[in-house]
Amino acid sequence: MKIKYFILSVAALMLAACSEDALDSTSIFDKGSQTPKTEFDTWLQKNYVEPYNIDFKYRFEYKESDVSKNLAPADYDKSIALAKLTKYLWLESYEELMGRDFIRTYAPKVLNLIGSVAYNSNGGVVLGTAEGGMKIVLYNVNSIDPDNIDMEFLNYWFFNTMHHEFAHILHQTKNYPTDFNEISKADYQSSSWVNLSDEEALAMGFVNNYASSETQEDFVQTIAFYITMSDEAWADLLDQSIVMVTDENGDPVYEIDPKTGEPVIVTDAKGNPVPARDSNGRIIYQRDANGNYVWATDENGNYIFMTDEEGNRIPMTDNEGNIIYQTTDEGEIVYDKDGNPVPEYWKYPVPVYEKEIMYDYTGYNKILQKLAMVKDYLKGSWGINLEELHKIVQRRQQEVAEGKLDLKSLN
Amino acid sequence: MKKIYFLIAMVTAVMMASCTIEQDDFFSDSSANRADAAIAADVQVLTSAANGWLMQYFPDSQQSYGGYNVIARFKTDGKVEIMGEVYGDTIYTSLYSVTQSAGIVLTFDSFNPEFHAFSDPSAPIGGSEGTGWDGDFDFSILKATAEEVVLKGKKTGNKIVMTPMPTSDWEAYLSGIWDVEEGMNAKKYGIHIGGEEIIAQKSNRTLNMSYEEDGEEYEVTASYIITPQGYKFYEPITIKGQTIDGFNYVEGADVFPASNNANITLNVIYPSVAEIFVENYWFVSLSSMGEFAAPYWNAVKQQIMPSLGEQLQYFAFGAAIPSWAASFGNYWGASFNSGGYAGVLGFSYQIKSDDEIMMGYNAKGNKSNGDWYVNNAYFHYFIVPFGCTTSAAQKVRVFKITADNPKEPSILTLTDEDEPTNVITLYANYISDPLNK
Repeated sequence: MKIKYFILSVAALMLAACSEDALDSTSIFDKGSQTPKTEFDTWLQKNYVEPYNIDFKYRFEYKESDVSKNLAPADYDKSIALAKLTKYLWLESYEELMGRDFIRTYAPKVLNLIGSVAYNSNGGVVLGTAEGGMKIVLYNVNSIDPDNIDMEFLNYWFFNTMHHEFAHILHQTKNYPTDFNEISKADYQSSSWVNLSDEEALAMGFVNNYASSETQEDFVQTIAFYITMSDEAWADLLDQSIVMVTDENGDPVYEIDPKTGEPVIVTDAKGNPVPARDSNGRIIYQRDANGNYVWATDENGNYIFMTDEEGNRIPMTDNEGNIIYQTTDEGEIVYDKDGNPVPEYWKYPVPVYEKEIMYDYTGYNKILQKLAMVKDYLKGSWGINLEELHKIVQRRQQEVAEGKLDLKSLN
Repeated sequence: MKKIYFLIAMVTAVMMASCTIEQDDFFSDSSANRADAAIAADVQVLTSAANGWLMQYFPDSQQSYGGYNVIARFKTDGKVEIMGEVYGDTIYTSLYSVTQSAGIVLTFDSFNPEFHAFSDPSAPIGGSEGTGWDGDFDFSILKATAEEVVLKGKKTGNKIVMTPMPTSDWEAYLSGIWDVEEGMNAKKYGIHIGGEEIIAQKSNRTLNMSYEEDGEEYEVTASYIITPQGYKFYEPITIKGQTIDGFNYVEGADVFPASNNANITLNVIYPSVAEIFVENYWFVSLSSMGEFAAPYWNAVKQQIMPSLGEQLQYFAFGAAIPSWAASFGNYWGASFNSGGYAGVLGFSYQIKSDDEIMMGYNAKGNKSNGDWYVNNAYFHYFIVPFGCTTSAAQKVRVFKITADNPKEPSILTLTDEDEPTNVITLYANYISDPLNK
């Protein structure tokens, strides 16, 4: 027994003597930053980190930036403005529709702000970049003018990018139906999208040239454009996607009635043909080969005369008020049986009617088809009502444009 | 019992073996804690300079723009106040951070118009778009003591030295720097070294020398910053076996000794009157035209201007008026404004000697409404005395140039070497309505 006890005690001693160094409970990754917190940091902790778990990097970090480019850091006050705008227009828009958990789960975890533009070697500039749904880099922050909010500028530089990247995250999480890829299958440009103008892209059925690069970009760009564009701007965009068909001389081509082979005439609400008008708004009348007016006739081929209140025909007068008389082809005045000269009476001239111009709706139809699919996907896979989201964002953009959001103070 | 002892021995041996001998830590603390301590020490140094730090900042990895004084006060709340030579009279406040990233790194990490003017790719102070002046705002701290902080630019690798500001009056310090710059300013210098003169051309804050030694061609560029003492080179240069650190300012002088060797001097080379003539623009009027020239000017005044219904607002000759060159390209020749319409009549020139110039009309250099006024209003008559025919073709003339004050002339006189009555007086000051003056 004694020996056993001895053995145990020796063993215990040995174990005690052999205590290892305790692990330091602090991580080395938390170290290395004793930078004092700014008021903005405190605000970000409360408004970005706690609710959304997003690191809003407004201070320049060499290792987070594109080291191949010359860049300038973001301005402190302009970063505050962008933080407030981003929260209001982007995070809270989704939150309003889908609840906080949704945006907290799927929003990229890092927003990195750069003050200057990033210039490419080809002279172009980078609008924004994203890394695997984790980080979005936003450039040109120093061009924000908090005193003159320009929604178009903000959408172009920042919010399109954010909605665009967020849509990427969504479709990378839940695939969209491959039917979408079929709509413009033959038209994707790959990297030569840069050679396409926005105008050309619209005619092909892309919301802008970048959307023509590949299917996924097309998909997310359609979403981003629809969310950020006002109803008016979206209608304009659709209008621009409808192209007038022209012949080889650049003149408009008209719709032809397949039954008659004649151009289709534009009709008004009552079904009457609409007269064509010149640039001054005056009705254009038909002329014969000699340049004379063509007069309207009734079904029997008789002229239709204008009449006064009493039903009498109205004689034509020249500029001095002298009655103009009918003449024969030889130029002799025509007399009636009583020997009186017969006046010319006012008749109805036949106007030129407006012809239906032929338009190509290919681009328009494709964009609408894509929008419908995008809406179905967001509704079906995520329960996101794109129409609602668009309305929420538009309402908030309107409020921002009206100066209702304080972009200067941290509250 | 033996078995038991054996067992005890075994257990003990095992225990001992598993229990490696305690080894003293090589470092007294963990790397993270040591880095934190180093950061704290550097921040302590940065924030302790009462008047802030004077930074001798050189943008661009070749230091091709020279160096600039940047004054920075690092505060304990993470803000830094900066004044410098770009905007001069304003203190801009932004943020800085000191972090651990392959050594201790000082970053000016929120935008400061003064400091980031050197790195902003939109090129606010020059350089090409996308690059600007290629300056750093991210630095490794190589050394930090109360007397000196030495930084190394992350992109350029440039060594940047900060010393405590000697005075709390930042504006006065900077204007002192500019006084030195003005006092030493010249486009061209002669460096006198060992009985020889080597020509140095100034560009931004660099001196560019090319010289021959033992049949070899050498090209040397010295980037300098301006201190109250004069030009201080980014690093010493060696010319003809002699080292030069910089040149000391001597008030009112035009010869400046090398700061480390008074036998070497930087001597201002004043431009010749011919150079002064071609590098500036000069105003003329009817009364500045001599006996030969006056009839041509009178002809336009009396026979053309009344029917044209315009007033000749001014007539200049020489280098391009900068604002004009900005809108329609550089030129050399006559610049006029008639009734609000600008026009240029181009000239070619060749400097023949320090005080002689050969020049003649060159219609290819006409700008804006120049051609119109030649074709419709006989304006080439104005330039007949300078070197043109009455049918608007070139006539080369050679003039002797004299000045009222050769160092800083305000009046030049051109005398035609083949036509003694062709004497034209040019004024540095603006002359309005020249046909009535």
